[in-house]
Amino acid sequence: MNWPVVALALYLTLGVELGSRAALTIAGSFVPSPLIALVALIAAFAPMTAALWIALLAGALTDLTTPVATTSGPTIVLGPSAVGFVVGTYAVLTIRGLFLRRHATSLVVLAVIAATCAGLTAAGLLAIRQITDSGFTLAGPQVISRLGSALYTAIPAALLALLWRRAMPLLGLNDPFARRWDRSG
Amino acid sequence: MNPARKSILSGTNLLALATGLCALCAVAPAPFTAWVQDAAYPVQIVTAPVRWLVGQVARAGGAGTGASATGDAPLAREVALLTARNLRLAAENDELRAQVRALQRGAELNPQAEAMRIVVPVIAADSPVASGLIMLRTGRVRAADGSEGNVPLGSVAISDAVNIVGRVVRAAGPVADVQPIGQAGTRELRATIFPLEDRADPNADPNADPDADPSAVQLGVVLTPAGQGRLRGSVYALQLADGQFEPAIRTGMTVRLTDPSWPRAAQMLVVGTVEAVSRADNGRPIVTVKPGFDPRSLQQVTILLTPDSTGTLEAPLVTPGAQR
Repeated sequence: MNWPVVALALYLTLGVELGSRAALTIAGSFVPSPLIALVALIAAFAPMTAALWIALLAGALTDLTTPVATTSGPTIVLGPSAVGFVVGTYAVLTIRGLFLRRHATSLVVLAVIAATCAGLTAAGLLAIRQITDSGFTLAGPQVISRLGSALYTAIPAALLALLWRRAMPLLGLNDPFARRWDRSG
Repeated sequence: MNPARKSILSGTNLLALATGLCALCAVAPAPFTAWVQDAAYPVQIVTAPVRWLVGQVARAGGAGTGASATGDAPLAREVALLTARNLRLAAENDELRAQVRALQRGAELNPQAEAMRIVVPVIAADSPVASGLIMLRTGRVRAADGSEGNVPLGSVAISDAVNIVGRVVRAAGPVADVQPIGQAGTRELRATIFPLEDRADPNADPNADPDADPSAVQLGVVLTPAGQGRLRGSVYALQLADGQFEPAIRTGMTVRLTDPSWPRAAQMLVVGTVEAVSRADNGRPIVTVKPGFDPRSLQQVTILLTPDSTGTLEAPLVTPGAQR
């Protein structure tokens, strides 16, 4: 894996996600996540440990740049997205063998599954936080907005999937379905 | 190396440990995770350039120039460009006139409104479903004594000279975050409606005395966030002319800030306009107020730097030059 390029891709995608979030919000609470889409696509082809580290890093960066709306004001919470991304990536790693990964639609479905797992995990952790921290009360419902956002993530995932075959060599990812004689050339 | 030790330090174990720590941070009460707030700023500053660039593109895309629809003929294109420029200049003139009128009106109502103003660009606005925070590139602020520091917490951000955007809730280095009014989690806001103020409004009461003092009749309202960036509150009579009944609330009426917990310079600035009026069970009117700004299209805001910016904001407040 080409780590500098992966890091640059994560950085740029995180910037895109943060910068476009307000403009892309629909139905009041649905926001796409290009970053989880990228992480899921990497997980579809990367070695397991590397994919999980990337997911943890990307999730932690999301947590640190996305305050959670609470009744006492926006609060940075490290963990919900970090753990959520890891869970979503683990789901992709588990089921990627069942998919035709060279097909763009498969990649989109994997990204939506990862986003759904990540969103539900984050919502669950925040719900636990409400129990353990008496001063922490979420300002709005989480599950519906996160599920809607996961479906909405299909759009950036589709855009990424279209570019994916060109991006894979840059990211240092191997296509396990490439023919041996193709690789030698 | 001992094989047992090697397995403990393996990448998988470290990954599990890091994930467990993140899960612990996610559910731990605030006192144990206060350091996270400080750790977030370097990341936010590092991502600010790309965020700003994408925000600019998103705003430009939303505005839609429509230049491609002007045809291929050079002359027609030139005419279209000049027409657009003239219209833009005319619109800017109208906007400036309106701002001057609004400032004069605000100064009439609050003659003590004096503050140093700095105009700063907006890096990006977070989604209302998340924090709704608007990140600004403020740079360092030079105080009167020459010392430099962050923008004081609690400073008020406004747009178009008179529309209140929100208050600075976090500031570090070259960036600051503004929590917009109307965002879930913000405190209640005391405001006043001056029914006689909007007499130029075509929907205004035609029987109203054109020479009456605009501040003779005042209706108070305590506004709380109502979702979608709106504010809602029940209206009550603050001040009525002798023998006068409470005037009717109409959509489009201007709602002005009169909250003692906000800096003096922000008093009488515009919270928004009445978007809808309904009735409570007790018959009192309830207004829904739409703020006068759109976080998705904000390019820059003005920050009012006042000696009393520290106000009574709940967050720990500091003065310029004394912040972290």
